[in-house]
Amino acid sequence: MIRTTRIALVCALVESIVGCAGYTARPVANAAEDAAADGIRYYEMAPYLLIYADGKGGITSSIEMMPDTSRRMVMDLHAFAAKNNTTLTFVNGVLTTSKFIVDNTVVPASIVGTIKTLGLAAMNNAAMNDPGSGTVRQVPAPYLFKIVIDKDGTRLVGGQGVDGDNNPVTIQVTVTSEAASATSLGGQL
Amino acid sequence: MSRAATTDVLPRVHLALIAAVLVGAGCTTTLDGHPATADSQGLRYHLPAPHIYMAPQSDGSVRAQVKYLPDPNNTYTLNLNSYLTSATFNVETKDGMLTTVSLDTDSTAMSVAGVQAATEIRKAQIAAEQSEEKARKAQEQAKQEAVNNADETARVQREKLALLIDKQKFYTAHPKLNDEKTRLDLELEISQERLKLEQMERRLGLVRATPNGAFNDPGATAIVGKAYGPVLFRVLPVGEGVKLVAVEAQAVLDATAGGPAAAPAVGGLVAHPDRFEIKRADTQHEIVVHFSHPVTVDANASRLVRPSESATAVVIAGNKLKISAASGNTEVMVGLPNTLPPGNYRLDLIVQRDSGERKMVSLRVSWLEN
Repeated sequence: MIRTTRIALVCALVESIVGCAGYTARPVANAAEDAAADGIRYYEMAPYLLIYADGKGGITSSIEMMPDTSRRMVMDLHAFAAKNNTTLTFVNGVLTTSKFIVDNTVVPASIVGTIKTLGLAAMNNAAMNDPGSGTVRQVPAPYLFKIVIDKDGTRLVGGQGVDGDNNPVTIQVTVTSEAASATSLGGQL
Repeated sequence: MSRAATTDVLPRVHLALIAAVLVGAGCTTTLDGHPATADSQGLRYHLPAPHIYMAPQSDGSVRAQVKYLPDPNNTYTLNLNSYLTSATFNVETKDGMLTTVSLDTDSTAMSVAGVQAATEIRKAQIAAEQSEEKARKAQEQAKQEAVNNADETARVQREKLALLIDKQKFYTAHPKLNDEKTRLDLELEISQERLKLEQMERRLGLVRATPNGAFNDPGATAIVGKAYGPVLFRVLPVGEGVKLVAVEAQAVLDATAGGPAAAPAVGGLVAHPDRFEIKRADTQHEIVVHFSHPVTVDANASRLVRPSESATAVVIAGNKLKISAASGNTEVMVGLPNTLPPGNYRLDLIVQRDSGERKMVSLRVSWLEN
């Protein structure tokens, strides 16, 4: 018993003198964990597909790297009898110097086309914008999909923008008389 | 081992433990980060809330942008604790969100240089406070000047309008002293000046409401119309996916366009209608538009538009308006359909001058039920 205690204390002494420094990062699963956790909060990044009607009869789509607000992390920095020179850089709440960073390369170029096709198929179910409908045009709400890549493949999870009551949203666009007349007169004005 | 031996060892063990704690704790640096409360201290920062910002453009297109706004529901504090050592802790934020966190515990202990640095920091704080006070006074002065100017402009306009109205009363009381065209011109001028006054008074309200009297000033003579504003969608996590939820219903906002409202002078071409209001009970539902130069109207390209706050604007094609399309005439007659719903309309006439120039002339028309 005494021998064990002595070994433990000697180890503690050695560790104290040698010291340690660094950081630890771990996910925060829920609000209770968040309240108890100690450290810097940030989000992990995830790829998303944004698709929207451009108001001219066309579709614009892009892959956006955005923080995944469902994956919150906490990082604890510490220095215990040791040096710690650490600089963490964040972009839009995402830690960009961490090994957890997800960049564009996680979306293989070969499947980008497939993803966009999936998104465009979803758009086909919506009322498309009609540039010739007058001084007020209607444009469907944008679509946003999270690109989920797992062992089963790649999936798009998301949908079209809605209002607070979950009803579809249509964006009204006012066309100035100057722009409208320039269109109707073939740009003569 | 006997009990005596045990008691001999324990004091030495305790001393070693205390020494270890002192050595360790003597140069410890920790960073505390917790959810912010109303009274918690420390450097505050927010996690971002991603949004999709859909901005209508004047040409009918839409521009989408990803925007990151600070999330007030996810606010945290950072505190650095150092014991018997020194550390440099630097945190940079942008729009309330973290951009850089750097921790350097390799700094030397507090020194003369550190004291000097603290002095310099205090000096900088004092300079910043003085600068803020100076800026605040300048802002107050600028606002007062802007209010005075806008107030004076509106006052002059009110007097001008009052004179014109008196003149109109005189003309009405003495119809033999003037012709119909003069009366119409006066009516048109009053209408324009009244519109200018409305805009000046609106401008005065904006000047009073803004902190320094500066705002996106459309100018005193710009047309105030309506246009749909942007829509902001918040990106919310749902399950393993995502959901877009509009933050607010799309608003209809005041907008401005260049040029006078009722008698546009387009490339030297001036037009004014013989009246601005038509009642359904009127025997004639035509408007006669007088042009300063001979024009030919392109009836197919012209139209009657009802700018609407609802989803769909009412548009009547020019070929359903009974537009007299005689070429080279300075008067154009436009007949409105009897089935027209009551409301305010804009008549867009596409005209061509003898020189070949094509222009659009917009006139405001009110269709009244009674």
